[in-house]
Amino acid sequence: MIDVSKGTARRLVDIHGWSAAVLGLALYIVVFSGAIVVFSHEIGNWSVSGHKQGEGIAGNIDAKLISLAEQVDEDYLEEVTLFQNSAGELITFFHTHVNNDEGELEEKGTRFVLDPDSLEILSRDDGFREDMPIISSGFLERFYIDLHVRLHAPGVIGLYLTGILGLILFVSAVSGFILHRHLIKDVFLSPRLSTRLMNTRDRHALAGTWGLVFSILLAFTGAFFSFATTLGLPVIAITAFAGDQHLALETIIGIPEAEDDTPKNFVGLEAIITNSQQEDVAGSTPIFIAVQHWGRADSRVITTHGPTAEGSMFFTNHRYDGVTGEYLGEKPGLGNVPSTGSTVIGLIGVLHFGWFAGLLSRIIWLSLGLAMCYVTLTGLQLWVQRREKSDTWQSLSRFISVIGYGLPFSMVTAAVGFLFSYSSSEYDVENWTVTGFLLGVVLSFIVGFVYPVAEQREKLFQKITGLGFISLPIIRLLTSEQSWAEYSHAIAVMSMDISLFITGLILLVLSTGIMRAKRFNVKASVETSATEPAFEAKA
Amino acid sequence: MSQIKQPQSNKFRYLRSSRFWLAGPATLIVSIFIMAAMSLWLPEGKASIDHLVFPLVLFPLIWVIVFFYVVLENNIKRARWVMLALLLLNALPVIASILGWLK
Amino acid sequence: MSVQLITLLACAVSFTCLVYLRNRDPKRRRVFRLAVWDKKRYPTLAWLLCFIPGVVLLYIEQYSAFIMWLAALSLIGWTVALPKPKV
Repeated sequence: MIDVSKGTARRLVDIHGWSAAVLGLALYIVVFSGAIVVFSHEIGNWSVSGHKQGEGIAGNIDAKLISLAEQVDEDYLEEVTLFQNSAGELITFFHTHVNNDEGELEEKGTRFVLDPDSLEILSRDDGFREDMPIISSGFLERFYIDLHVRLHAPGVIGLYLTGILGLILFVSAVSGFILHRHLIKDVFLSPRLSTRLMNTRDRHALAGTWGLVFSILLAFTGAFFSFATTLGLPVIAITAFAGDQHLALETIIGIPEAEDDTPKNFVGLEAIITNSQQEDVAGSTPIFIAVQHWGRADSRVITTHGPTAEGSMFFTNHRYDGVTGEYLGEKPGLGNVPSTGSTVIGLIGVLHFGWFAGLLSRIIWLSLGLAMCYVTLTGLQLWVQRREKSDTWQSLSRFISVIGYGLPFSMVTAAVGFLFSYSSSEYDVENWTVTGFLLGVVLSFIVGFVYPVAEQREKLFQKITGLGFISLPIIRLLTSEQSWAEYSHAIAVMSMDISLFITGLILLVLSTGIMRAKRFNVKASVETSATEPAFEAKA
Repeated sequence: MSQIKQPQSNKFRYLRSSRFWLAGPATLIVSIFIMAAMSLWLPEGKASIDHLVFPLVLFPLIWVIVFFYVVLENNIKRARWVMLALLLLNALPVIASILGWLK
Repeated sequence: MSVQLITLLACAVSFTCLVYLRNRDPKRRRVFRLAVWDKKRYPTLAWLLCFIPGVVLLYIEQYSAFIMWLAALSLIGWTVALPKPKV
């Protein structure tokens, strides 16, 4: 697209190719899991068959919360959070902020998991937040999200990894844009069938061209989420706050008002939630509630509301007095008064998550993610097809299908592990989900090594992944001990079942090879003639 | 690909290229300093947070711009000087702030 | 009209323009050896028309519909260009 000197073009080709050859598959894992977790709430709801459908956060919760507040250490009343997870369970965390063994400020307190209908305590845990056991009902969703956010690497390492992959995607998109000779001319060019190499090249370039803008946007916003707290905030804290990260974070989030620790009774949440549901306030049930200084004169309640299809596309926060219940107005996401910075962060969330306008936006974002996977995988195929004579690259090429199909397959087997363990014993959920995933990975590698012929291997992968998808709704039905009739109200569960089934069918159809009608002319035709000395042909 | 075409070069030839070091570690350091320095000169905005939020948001973009500058600059000598200038220009206020001279 | 409906409408308009552009695209026709399009074609006009839904959505302040339309455009364009022409 942009004319660069020969040497520069060569450098760009090296960067574009080698960065992808080395990290492309890791990037694919992040992008694919990212596309899937656009539907994380639905997955969470589906994984437990939507079994807990009490009134939850919108019900009568005050009496229970007040009795819980009496059972915990008084220090833990500094902040109380409450939300309902995708499985329907209420999770409330009474906590304070103290230094952990490594000297880092961390949340410490008591966490209760409550049944949304009876409000019975399902579990109680005390201690640092990081050390708490997983909440089994939300584990499958959590597992997929962690795969996307940190590739399951511990602590900040995972975030650095995904941040670096975000930058790699950014660099690949920009270098691809510069290198593509006929970006505009080729914008409607259906992949040519002259040779396999040319076909792959065209498929990669066409999908990359159309996906250019949004792969840059998603890479950029993703890199921001990875680096903002792990790299940016510490650096800013050192520069402008003498190293005090806590103060830096507090300044950004919004400095709290002057303290007043006179004991005063907490007003309760029911009236506040009802108020926030009014059209002129937020118009929806809060997805998250934070109470600061429970039982003190300076108590504040902040309700967070998700974006809705017809309302705001941003997450919104509303502030209430924790003693009188008086509405104190909207609180911006960051800072105490509206600002450009807060709006920009809101917009980054909108663009990265794709949750801003209900189902349609989520479907589009899922498709964007899958389209980016296609660009990544065809790019890798192109790389190995250009190295047809190198045995090393040819044997490495099987990793493309091992990971390409293996990841969806392993995510399916993780779900199978979850479904079986969740129905039998909730304490084994973590173990069995992880084991399921690892079994899927091992099986994928076995298939990769047993089948040396690419076509055979891919067909088998399509078959087992397709069967895996189809088995999911069946296993869910069997393990949940509930029939279709009872799910007429749980639309999310039903539509997930149907979508999984259809996805499986599509893969099975693909595995029959009907769609593989491509024939490549051995004889070079018009389009590969000397009129197009594209850089790609050099390698 | 290059090792096929250029038998005389080895796999680690990049380690001897100053552009590799400029585009790798140097770019990272320079962009971190640019981000840090931004928090000192950007306007605070209405909520006094804009100067803190924007460097965080822009960091990936800053890195990519510096990276592509180094890659696309044909004159490697000039690239070296520009990077040095960027580093000094941004590191000085940051160091001054850390040492408390700006108060 | 709901946001979803507006978005789909905007996408439909852009889709039509992209199909028009695709069918008359000179390189695509040349590469797949279709007859040269000798009738008049209006590529600039079609491209403008393709992006007009976006301008309209911004003008009527349907920002979430605008973002969805823009994202969907990248997918629509790809699916329009991908299939090989019928000879």
